[in-house]
Amino acid sequence: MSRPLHTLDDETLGRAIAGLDLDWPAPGEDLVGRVRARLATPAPAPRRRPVRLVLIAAAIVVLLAGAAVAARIVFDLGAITIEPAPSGRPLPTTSALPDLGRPVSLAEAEALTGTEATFPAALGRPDLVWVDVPEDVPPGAAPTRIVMAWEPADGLPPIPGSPYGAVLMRWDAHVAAGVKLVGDDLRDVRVAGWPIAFWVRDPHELVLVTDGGPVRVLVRGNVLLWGTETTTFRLESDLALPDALALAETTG
Amino acid sequence: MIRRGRDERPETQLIELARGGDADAFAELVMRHQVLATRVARVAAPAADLDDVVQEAFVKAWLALPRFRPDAAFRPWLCAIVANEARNRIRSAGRRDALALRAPEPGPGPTDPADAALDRETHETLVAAMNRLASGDRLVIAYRWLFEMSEAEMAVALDVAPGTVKSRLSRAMTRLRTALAEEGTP
Repeated sequence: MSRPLHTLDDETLGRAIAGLDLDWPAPGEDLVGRVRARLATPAPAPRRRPVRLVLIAAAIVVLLAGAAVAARIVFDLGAITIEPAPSGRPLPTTSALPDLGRPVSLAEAEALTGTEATFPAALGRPDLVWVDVPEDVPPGAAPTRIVMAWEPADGLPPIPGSPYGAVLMRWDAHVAAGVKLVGDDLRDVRVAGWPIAFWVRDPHELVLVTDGGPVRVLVRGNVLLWGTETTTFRLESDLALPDALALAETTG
Repeated sequence: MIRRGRDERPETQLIELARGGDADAFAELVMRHQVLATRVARVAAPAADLDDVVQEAFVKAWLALPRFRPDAAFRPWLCAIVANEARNRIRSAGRRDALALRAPEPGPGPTDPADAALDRETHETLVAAMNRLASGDRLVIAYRWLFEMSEAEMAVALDVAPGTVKSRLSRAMTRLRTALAEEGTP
C-alpha cells in the first residue's frame, strides 16, 4: 500500500477492507440443534415482565420554584403530567433504564402500534427501536410507547452515562403514561409552535412508574419534553437547548 | 437431468415451507446462514455473547417468519434481526463495543520480511480503525465490503430507505478515514 490509508478514495479503501483476512468466530457448537430444540419447546405463556413501562399512570414531577411547589401546579403534557416535587431528594445512582420493550424495526413498531412513528428527521432513521404495546388491556386504555435511539455521530455527542447520542421516547397523548422527573433547571420553551414544552438541563431524576413499582433513574443528559395533540415526546441528548430545539422541530 | 439433493432445495422453497411451520426447512435455513449470522453479530456488537445472540436471533426469525414477505430477500432480513439482537444485548448488558475484529497471527507467508511487516501493519491498522467505529458505521461498511451486499440488500439489512444507503456508506467511510488518520495510517 503505497499511499496512506486515510487518503484513499472509498472504492480503493473498500477493496482494502474486502481483502482483510479476518479471524471470524465460528458458529456455536450444534447451533442448528439448539435452535431446533427451542422451536420444539412450546412457547411459554405470555408473562408479565418484571418491570414493564406500559400500564403506567404517569407523571413527570419536576422540582419547581418554591411557590409552584407550594401551589402544587400541575402541567398536563398529553401522556405526561408534570407536577412539582419537594426539593432536597437525593438523586438515584443508576442510569440504567429498565426494559424498554421489544426491539423491533421502525416498520414493525408502526405495524404494532398502528401509528406513524414520527421522529426528528434531522437525526435520520434511528439505529435502534423498541416498542411496548399493552398486552392485557383493551386498545386505547393504556398508552403505547416507542423508544428510538441514535448512536453518537458528528454533531451528536454521547449522552453522559449512555452509549447513545440521542434517545426519543414517544407516547400516545390520549392516555396518561407514567413517568416522574425531578430536576431543578426547568424552562418553558416552545417546539414547532406547540406551547407546552419543557427543557430540563441538569442531572435529574426520572421515575418510571411501572407495574413492578417505581423505577428511579439518574438522567445526566439534557431533556426536551413536548406534546402535540396526538403524541408526547421526550428527547434526551447532550445537546444545548438551541440544537435540541432545532432537532425537535424537524419531527414529522 | 440434474437432480437436486435435499440439501440443495431452493431457498425460496425452504422459506415457504418454514413459513408454514416446517421446522426441518427452517433448520436448513439456519444451517445455510449460521456463518453469516455469527459474523454479523460480531460486527454489530463484538462484546456480546455471539453464540447466545445468534441462537436467539434465529428463534426470533422463526417467530417473525409469518410476517416475512415471500418475495423479499431472506439474507438481509435475517441480518437485520441478528444485528438488532446483538446491539440490544450490548445495551442490556450496559457495555460498550470492544475491539473484536481480529487480524490472524501471521503464518508462513511472504518470504520478504519487509513486505510481510507492511502487510501486517496495514491490516492491523485497518482493523483497529474499523473497531473504533460505532456499530452502525461498522455494519454498513461490513455489509458492503465484507458481505458484498447490493444496495437493495443493505437497505433491508439496515432498515433504511434504499435512497439513503449510499449516503450512509459514504458517511461511514469518511469516519473510517478519520479513525485511520488518528491511528496513524501506514
